[in-house]
Amino acid sequence: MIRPMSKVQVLGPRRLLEDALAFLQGQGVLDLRTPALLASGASRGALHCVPLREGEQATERALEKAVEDGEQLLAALPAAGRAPEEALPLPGSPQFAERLQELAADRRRLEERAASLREERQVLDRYGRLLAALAPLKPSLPLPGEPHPVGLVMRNDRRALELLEAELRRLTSGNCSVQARPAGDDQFAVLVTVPRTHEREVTALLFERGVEEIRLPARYAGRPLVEALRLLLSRERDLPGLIASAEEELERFSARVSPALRRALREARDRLDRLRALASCGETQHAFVVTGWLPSTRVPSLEADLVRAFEGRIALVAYPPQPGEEGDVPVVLENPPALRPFERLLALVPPPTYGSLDPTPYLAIFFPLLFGLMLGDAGFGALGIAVALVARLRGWGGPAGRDLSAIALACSASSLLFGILFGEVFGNLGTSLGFHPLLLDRRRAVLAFLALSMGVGIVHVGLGTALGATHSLRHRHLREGVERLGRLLLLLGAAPAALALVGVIPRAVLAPSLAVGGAGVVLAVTGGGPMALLEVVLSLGNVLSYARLMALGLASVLLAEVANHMASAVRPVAVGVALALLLHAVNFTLGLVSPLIASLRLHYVEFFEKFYEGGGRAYRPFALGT
Amino acid sequence: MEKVYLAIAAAFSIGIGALATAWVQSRIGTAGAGALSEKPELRGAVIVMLAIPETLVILGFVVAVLILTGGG
Repeated sequence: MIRPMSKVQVLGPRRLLEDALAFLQGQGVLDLRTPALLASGASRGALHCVPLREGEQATERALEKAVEDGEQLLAALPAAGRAPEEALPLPGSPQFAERLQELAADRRRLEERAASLREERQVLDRYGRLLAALAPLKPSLPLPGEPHPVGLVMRNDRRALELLEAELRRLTSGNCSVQARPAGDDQFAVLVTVPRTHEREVTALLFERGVEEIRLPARYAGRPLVEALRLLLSRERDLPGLIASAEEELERFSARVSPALRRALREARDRLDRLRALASCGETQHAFVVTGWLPSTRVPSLEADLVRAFEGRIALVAYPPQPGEEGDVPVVLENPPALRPFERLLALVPPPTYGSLDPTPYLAIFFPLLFGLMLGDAGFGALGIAVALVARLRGWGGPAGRDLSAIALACSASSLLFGILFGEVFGNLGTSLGFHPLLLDRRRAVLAFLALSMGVGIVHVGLGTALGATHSLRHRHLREGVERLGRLLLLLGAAPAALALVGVIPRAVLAPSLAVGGAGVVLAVTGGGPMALLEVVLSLGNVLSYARLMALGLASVLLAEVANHMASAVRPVAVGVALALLLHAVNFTLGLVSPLIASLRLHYVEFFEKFYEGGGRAYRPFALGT
Repeated sequence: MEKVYLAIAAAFSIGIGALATAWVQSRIGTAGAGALSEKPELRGAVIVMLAIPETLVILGFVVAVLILTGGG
């Protein structure tokens, strides 16, 4: 059901507004609204919206900046264990901004150090053999000039090396040297020395010819190549230790800073929320008013707490929702614990409007029922129960996982039950284990299964229509109620008429059924006008859609049968059994996904359409961050 | 010969339904993926819209079954 809500006004002296907001934020139950009189933004007599003063605006900007910068720093820090925490200044203060900048700079320095060491290791990993081959070579020029050495990687091709040397001689008028040493089976490490005055032309030539130049890490920039190579090779043994220590230092930094930063950000967001909440409040010269919604059951406790905290200087007035306010009231669903997990299935559609029907109880009954009708296999059902129980016991996925495992448990139990009724255990394997269909054999009685699916469709759509009609009549929407009643009568008449026509029930039922259906059409047209005829046809279309229960069920059982057949037909037997297990695993996966989507679709499109009024507002209480 | 015609009719019934569903779902899927990248809160509506054209192939399948079983 949808929890009854109350609109409250908290009134008190203006000087207590900030304290009252802090108190309400601590209570975390009030979903704030701008007072109705000020909704247009204009003042009403002495009452007007609370403006942010200059200092508060500056604080708001500072807090926004602190949150933005803090989140960036937090996102860049690695996960870390526990350590003595750093004390941070008050968020939003200049000291906090300054400290945040220092921390960001520290993080950057630590990260850059670790990255530079990792780069060195990458260069060594990539060019290790080449560097070792190049290290003994000495750069030299045949003619005068400042030598500029370049290390290259080339494939083991003498002809290509000769061509490169010829090009370099042409560029440098013969003042260059090319020394090559094999590095492994398929590569040459090449040391090219050219005058520094030709550095740019040579770099361009190498780029054009696609020759890979050995790039050394930034920390070796400016050092002669050979010296840099020797230095790099000498650090090979120390690098893993240096990298580990740099990463550890970064983690220690994160452990020291992250929790404090997280707490500071939470505090900053709470203060920011309080500042922004001021805009929803009204004030006069001497008084303030805070308006909002909360569950009616929480009103007495909030009132008592307010009186106690402010010694009666702040008052609370509560009203029930007025007609026309339904769209503004936030919606809180309240169901017994067993049904509560099914509220998750409503997360995919907008919440119901306040005052309309909460479909959770119907979802809790029909969702597993439709799922079980489609999967309908005792083996898969038992497997599903086992998986759901393991997920529940291990606490996979937190609270959401717990709810989903409860839904999975209900769906699997339903599959198990229908599996027994259909005599199916991993398809037709049940027959050899002594199981026999108690209700119908889905593989043979296809049309009976289709009729069962349609029957379930009529009950489901009929229930939705009945709920819609009752709701409309209760809220005195007479025309809508009469139209829905007409559609319900049509469904009630059409079902026995169809059965009488195919000879399942005596033909004598046909005439009264047609009369009931006809009366339904008349009522529908009376309530909704000629366009209601279209709705009547659509209602029958809604029922036809339940044919998917038969289609998916048949596909599931036939796939399982193919898997079993494979085990006996394929030789050697071990291969057949492996293929069968694989196919059963595929079928189990498909059996979970397809019925899940089909069942959801039948609820959202066929069932909800008859009574569900979406477009409600989610309940977002003004509360401290967690 | 009649059995061959019945089989062909059943194949057309489900085949055309499947092609139609695939075509419509491809269009809805593309549009839905675009919409989801802008507004992730629309995921429920997109799933529902994606599942709506499935009815075409389901009804095609039902007609195929009726053709093959002679409706009784």
